[in-house]
Amino acid sequence: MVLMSFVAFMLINMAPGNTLLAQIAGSGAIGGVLDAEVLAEFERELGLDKPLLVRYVDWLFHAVQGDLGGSFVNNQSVLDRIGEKLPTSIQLVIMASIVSLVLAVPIGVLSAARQGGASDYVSRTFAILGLAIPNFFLAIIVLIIFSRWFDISLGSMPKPELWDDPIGNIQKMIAPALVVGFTLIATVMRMARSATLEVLNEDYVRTARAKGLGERVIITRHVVRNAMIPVITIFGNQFAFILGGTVIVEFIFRVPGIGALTLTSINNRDYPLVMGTTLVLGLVVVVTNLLVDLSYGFIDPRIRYS
Amino acid sequence: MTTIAAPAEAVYVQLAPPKPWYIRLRRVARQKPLGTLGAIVLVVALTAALFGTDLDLFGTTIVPGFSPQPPQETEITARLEGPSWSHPFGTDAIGRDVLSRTIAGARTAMIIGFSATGLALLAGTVIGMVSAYAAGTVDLLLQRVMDAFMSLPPLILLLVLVTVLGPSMMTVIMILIFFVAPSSSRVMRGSTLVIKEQQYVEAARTLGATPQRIMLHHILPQLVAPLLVLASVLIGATIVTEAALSFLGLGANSPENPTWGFMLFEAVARPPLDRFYWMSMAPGIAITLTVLAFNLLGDALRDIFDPRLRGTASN
Repeated sequence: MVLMSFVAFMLINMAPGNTLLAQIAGSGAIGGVLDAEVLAEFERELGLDKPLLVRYVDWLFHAVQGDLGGSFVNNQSVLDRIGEKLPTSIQLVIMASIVSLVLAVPIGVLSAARQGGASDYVSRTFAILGLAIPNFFLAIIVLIIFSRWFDISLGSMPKPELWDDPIGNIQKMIAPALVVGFTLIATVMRMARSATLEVLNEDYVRTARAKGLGERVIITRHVVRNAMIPVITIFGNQFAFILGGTVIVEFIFRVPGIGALTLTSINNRDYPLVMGTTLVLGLVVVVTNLLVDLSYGFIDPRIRYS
Repeated sequence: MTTIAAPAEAVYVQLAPPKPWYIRLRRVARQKPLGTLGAIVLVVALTAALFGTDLDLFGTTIVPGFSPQPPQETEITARLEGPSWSHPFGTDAIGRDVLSRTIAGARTAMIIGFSATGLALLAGTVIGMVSAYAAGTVDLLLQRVMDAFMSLPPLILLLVLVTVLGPSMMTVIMILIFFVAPSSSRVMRGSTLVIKEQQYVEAARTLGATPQRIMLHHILPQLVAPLLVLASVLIGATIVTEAALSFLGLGANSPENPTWGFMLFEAVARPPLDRFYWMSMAPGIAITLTVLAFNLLGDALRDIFDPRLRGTASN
């Protein structure tokens, strides 16, 4: 895991570093005539006159100590900026996860238990559609529907703090969460369905039936618990994609989260901020994967860690 | 009529003449209605991509396009008009025909989808095959590098890379390759691991075939079916990813080659969204239908080629 994050870390660092000067030159040129002296001063100020490798090691040295440097634009601490935006995004992702798990797992299990029934058709249609509709188009549709028929403009709705105004906060976040969760619903539902189908064929399910247990008990006690492992795995794998999805959804719904921050910093060529957000998001993914691995033991006591 | 030159004592087998292709196609179509639907949609999309706008070769137009007007043509008196007979899907903020632009967008989407997926599959197959066949340290190293690529939030990294390299069709294709190749190499590695244990591969090795020969002539042909399935799903995925990049203004968009993603961005950039809904509907539905078609086709191909693979394609 450490090796993995290290290799990943190197890759993202080396690529942007090479063209940093070009970026700065590019953003300077937009402002008008480019004065070599001004540029040199600019570079000195931001520490860009040093060789690439020195800068990289320097950055790494500080990053390990938890100092991600200051933003190019207003010299605010990158860590502070991320710190104030990250909770919003995490809330979004958690809400999306809850929504999708609550909806997808029961429907997926039901559709497998009653193969060919109504819930089966619902889940399969959902699965096909959910994988095909890009989340930005879905977000646009949701926005249009809300403002046309309910006269609610989701984009300009303010986002109060969760602790000050829980209801207002959830009102603002529920639509983006649903959009982010939609693709996830499709994937999780598909997985829950196929995993349940597989478990239903196991010998112990037949045993449970033979000893006269009710179908409800069999499904909840014997089948669901065993079917959850692949579901959790796919859920963890999808986490990186959800995080990526938040960038666009936050942009459309004007949710002030880390995705929107990444986008702004990219547009401003605010290099330390881009690095910081990328790193933090990468870290979140790695940590989530670890949590997913650990949760196997919780769900299935047969799995032990040595 | 196929006849078999039978040895003297052999039982004479009369083979039924192979059915003509259109009858076989009809049978497949009846068994896989959804896959057929996908194929039909794709034929429409491909036609739009090929012949929608003028097909140029060395600066001369060989086949004139069928779309109502060039995608970059503006009609300043007809800005932001709703659907009408002259503009079935309406016009955008500077008076361009949304239908024409959607048709032109098909070409961009297809070029990127096919070339990025094709090259990524090529790379993924080579890496996966070598990794599985060589095993040991090579396998370990290659797979860890692939792990590293796959552990990052793809869209965010794509954004960073496109910003750094500058948005253009070339960079978008190159970068997409980097993100599709690892997962396809994983699938190819899995398939190769199974195939290389087969007895006929062992027989080839016993006969002294070189690793290159075994991989090219004995393993690769077996990989064609999973490759086709993978390709159909991945093309859809790359088209969505490109659309997402374009939507954020970092795609392959240009006036002559509009992309569906950028058209959606233009719709969002021109609020109120609900009043000018036609600007977003056509490109959005085009993306959704294309991807849906690729997915349906992929599912059908998977069932036809290898029922054992059911449910294993990457999501």
